Amino acid sequence: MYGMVNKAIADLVCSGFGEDKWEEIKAKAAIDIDFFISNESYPDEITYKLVGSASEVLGLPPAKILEVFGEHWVLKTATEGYGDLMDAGGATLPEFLENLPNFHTRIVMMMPRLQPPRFEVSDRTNNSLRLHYHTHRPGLSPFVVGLLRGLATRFDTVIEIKHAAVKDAGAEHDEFVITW
Amino acid sequence: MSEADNIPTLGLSPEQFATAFPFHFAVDREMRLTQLGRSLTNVMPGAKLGANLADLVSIARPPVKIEFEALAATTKTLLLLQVQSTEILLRGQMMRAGENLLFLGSPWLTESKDLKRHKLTFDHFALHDSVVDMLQVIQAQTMALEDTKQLAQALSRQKEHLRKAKEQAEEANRAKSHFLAVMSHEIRTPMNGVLGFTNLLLDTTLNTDQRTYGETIYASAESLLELLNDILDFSKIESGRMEIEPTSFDIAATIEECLDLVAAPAAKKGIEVLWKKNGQLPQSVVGDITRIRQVIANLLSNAVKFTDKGEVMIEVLAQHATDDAGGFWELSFAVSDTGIGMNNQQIGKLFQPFTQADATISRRFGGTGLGLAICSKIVELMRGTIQVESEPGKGSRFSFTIRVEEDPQHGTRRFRRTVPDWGDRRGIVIDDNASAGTALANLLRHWCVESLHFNSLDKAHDHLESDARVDVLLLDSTFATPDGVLFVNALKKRFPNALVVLTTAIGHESCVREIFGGDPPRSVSKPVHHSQLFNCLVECFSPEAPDQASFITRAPALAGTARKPLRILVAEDNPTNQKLALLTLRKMGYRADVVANGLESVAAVLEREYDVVLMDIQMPEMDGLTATIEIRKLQQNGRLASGGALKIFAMTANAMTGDRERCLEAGMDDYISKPVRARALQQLLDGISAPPPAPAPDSTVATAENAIRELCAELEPDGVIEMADSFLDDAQDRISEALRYAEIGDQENLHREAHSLKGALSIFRLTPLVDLARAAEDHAESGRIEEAGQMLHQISSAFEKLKPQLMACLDRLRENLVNPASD
Ligand code: HEM
Repeated sequence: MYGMVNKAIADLVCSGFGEDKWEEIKAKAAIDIDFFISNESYPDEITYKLVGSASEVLGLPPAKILEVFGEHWVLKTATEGYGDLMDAGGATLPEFLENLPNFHTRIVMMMPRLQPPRFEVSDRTNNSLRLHYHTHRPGLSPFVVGLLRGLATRFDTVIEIKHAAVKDAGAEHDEFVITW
Repeated sequence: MSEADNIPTLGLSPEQFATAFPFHFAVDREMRLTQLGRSLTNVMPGAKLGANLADLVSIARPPVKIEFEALAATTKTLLLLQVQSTEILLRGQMMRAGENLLFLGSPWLTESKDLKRHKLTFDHFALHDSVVDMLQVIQAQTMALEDTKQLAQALSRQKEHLRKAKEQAEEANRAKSHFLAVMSHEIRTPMNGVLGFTNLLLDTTLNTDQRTYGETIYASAESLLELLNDILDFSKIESGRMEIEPTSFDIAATIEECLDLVAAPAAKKGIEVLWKKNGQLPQSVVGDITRIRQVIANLLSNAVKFTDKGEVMIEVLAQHATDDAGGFWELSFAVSDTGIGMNNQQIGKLFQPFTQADATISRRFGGTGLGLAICSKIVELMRGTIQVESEPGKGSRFSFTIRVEEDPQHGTRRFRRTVPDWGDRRGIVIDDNASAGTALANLLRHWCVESLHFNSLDKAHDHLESDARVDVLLLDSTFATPDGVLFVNALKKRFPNALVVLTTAIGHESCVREIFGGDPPRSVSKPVHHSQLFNCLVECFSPEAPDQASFITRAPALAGTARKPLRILVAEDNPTNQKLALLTLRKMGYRADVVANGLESVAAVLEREYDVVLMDIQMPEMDGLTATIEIRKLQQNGRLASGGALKIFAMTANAMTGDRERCLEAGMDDYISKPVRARALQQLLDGISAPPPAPAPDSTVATAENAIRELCAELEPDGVIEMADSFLDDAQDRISEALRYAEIGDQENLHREAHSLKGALSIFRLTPLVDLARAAEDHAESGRIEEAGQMLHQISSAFEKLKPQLMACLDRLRENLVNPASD
């Protein structure tokens, strides 16, 4: 994944738990990189290792870490670094979710080595939609949940998320039914 | 959006057209808006059907009026429209569609925040419009810039961090140095007390055990001081405060001084210490003699320490060279031994401070492991390096080359003693050590004495039998045996004028003298000083030669006879120089205390009684002149431990004019130049009136006890003890008898009495008294009755002191040897 992801993890840990903890996590993951360059692609393994050792050092399950990270991503990283793009993504939660399929497609244009997820929206009603999440990476659905919660906070909207289809449990891809 | 019939849609359905061009508009000939895209009002607030275009925009490029024909003519030009009352630029092109002009374009944004400012979302743009994507690319670049800023900040923080850490480290290092200086002072002062009082203690009447304990205390305190000096030296080097202080000096003499330092321990272990010039040496060079001496002494003493049998050899080679700055000498030294040696791993650790080749070594041989680290730094300071070759079990060879300057007074002149023409001379060297023997034979050959080496008396005897002529015999003191005496006598009989020189290991002098009795041959102590041996040859073969030095005559004259029991303090900061001074004094029969700077010397004279202070001029903490002024002040106020006179003599390396005056002004009594030479020192000390005779000289009783034990082992113990008893009983009478002869001026009887007294004393190896008796005998023989009397008085009082201890010792021996306890 691109450096900005790992950098965001660093930012999350440092702001929440202090730099020492971050150094500890890196040391535990045996990763000797002082600074992640945003627009550089790093092996996925690094991100997984960081999440794994953060879970050990902070005493939280990996799923929880990913979820918190999702929220942090939307509320801090994306907002601070790409706030205008986030704004351009839509003025309301439903609008934003409808734009999601295009979102990473646009990002691929600026990050050519991106292997982003693919989103689809179906079953749109007045107060709900079904979000299809396709990815070649395993185990990141808690991250999506965190991202969605972050978006809800961002648009000041109360939502309910139902994990309607679970890839890890055999489904073709993950599906979330979001109701607001 | 417009529903007008004549809407130009380029063949698309109105919906498709609206999706594809959300920012388009159309105008009629009057420039009235006839159609607008769905997102146009976001970027052109006043836009509505019928509004006049000229009220809404101006044309930024190209410069055309807002008129139908003029605009219609721009269809092949990129058009930039400036929306009035905003900063928005619309970028696009005009197309003619019948009576309408169609503008196809979109807002030109350069920053992603422009989107927000104009309340635009992705939905306002056509999907094919790349303006938004370009904004993202720009955004990515902004991120990269942000990364760079963060990195730059991190770098500054890091730098600040490092600067602070460096400051802290430097501060800590300063504190450490200060601490070391303070500590060394604090430790040294009481340690000087320990050494000084132990010295005094050793001068009192002690039994053998007490003496051993006292000597152990002394040795331990000495090695503690040595360690302290090493640590101080090392910290000085580390902090770059060690400086090279050049003076002119003689290399050969320097090496021989270093040899003297290891002579005693080498003799004790029975190993030979040899030295060899590879070619001629310059007469004099300019360099830091003290530091050079320190390195050589260290290497030599290591070599002796790690060698159990065989030999230690120092070689030196001087080569003259020139560079831009002028001429200089490259001195190469090599110290090799036949000791335990080292493997490569041990060699690797050798020059690291605080590590010795391995831990067991420090346990076995002691030492801080700093010595070699210090040496290699000193050599580096002199633009050289130390090299090591070694093989476990075979030995080691340490070599180094340094650069010293030419002595302007001597230039490239080499030291060449002119060998007087003494004709065809033949010599033999008898030494059981092959290297030592060969080296001496070579040395003799070098001086035009054709020489052979034999490792046994028998072989030498065969040589004599073969009718060979012998003018010089160098006999190692291991052959100071009855057979050796016979050989020497046989030789003397055939060649009465032959020069016989004993090469004597330290500590063997008195037994050599004993075995040869009345007329002992000359002796030079090992390791042999080349000049000393040369002087023997000159004296014997061409006594009229001008180059005749007096070196050789010194040794016997100094050997204890003139000893006045003075209490001496040496103030000198360099440990090697300290040792040299002590050694010289010891050879002269004096024991002295040492302190390392002026402050310590002041503390010492406040605490203990001294008759003489030998004061170095340049010392850390407090120099010698200031210390002298200080001491004289204290003396005036009656605060010194000693109430009597106190002589202070300056010792200084560069004897400059005016030095003497400054010394005298400060309150010193005289002046002696460094390195301290025995003769000059003797002259100074001779001028001082002796305080009352000292108590028993060191270890005399122990030596006597050993002598008696040895006799007991060979003869009947009862008889020996009885003989000793009766000697103790009537010795005093015989001294009185001799004194009476002295009084009445009966030279002949005085001589006889002194001679027999000497014999009796030497049976019990009461060496200092034997020396005095020999002096009395010499004086008597040459008619100096009064001097002989003085010697006898000294013998008498010394004997009186010794007698109770000797009696106690006899009692002990009687119990142990004659009636062994039932254990
Ligand atoms: C400006 C905002 C955003 C940017 C710049 C961005 C960028 C990225 C990048 C660089 C990756 C790593 C993929 C790779 O390096 O191959 C990623 C992954 C991901 N993004 Fe985004 N993203 C943004 C917003 C969002 C939002 C709003 C969501 C969704 C709700 C989202 C969902 C994800 C998910 C789930 C992944 C995990 C990768 C996977 O599932 O394969 N992202 N994003």
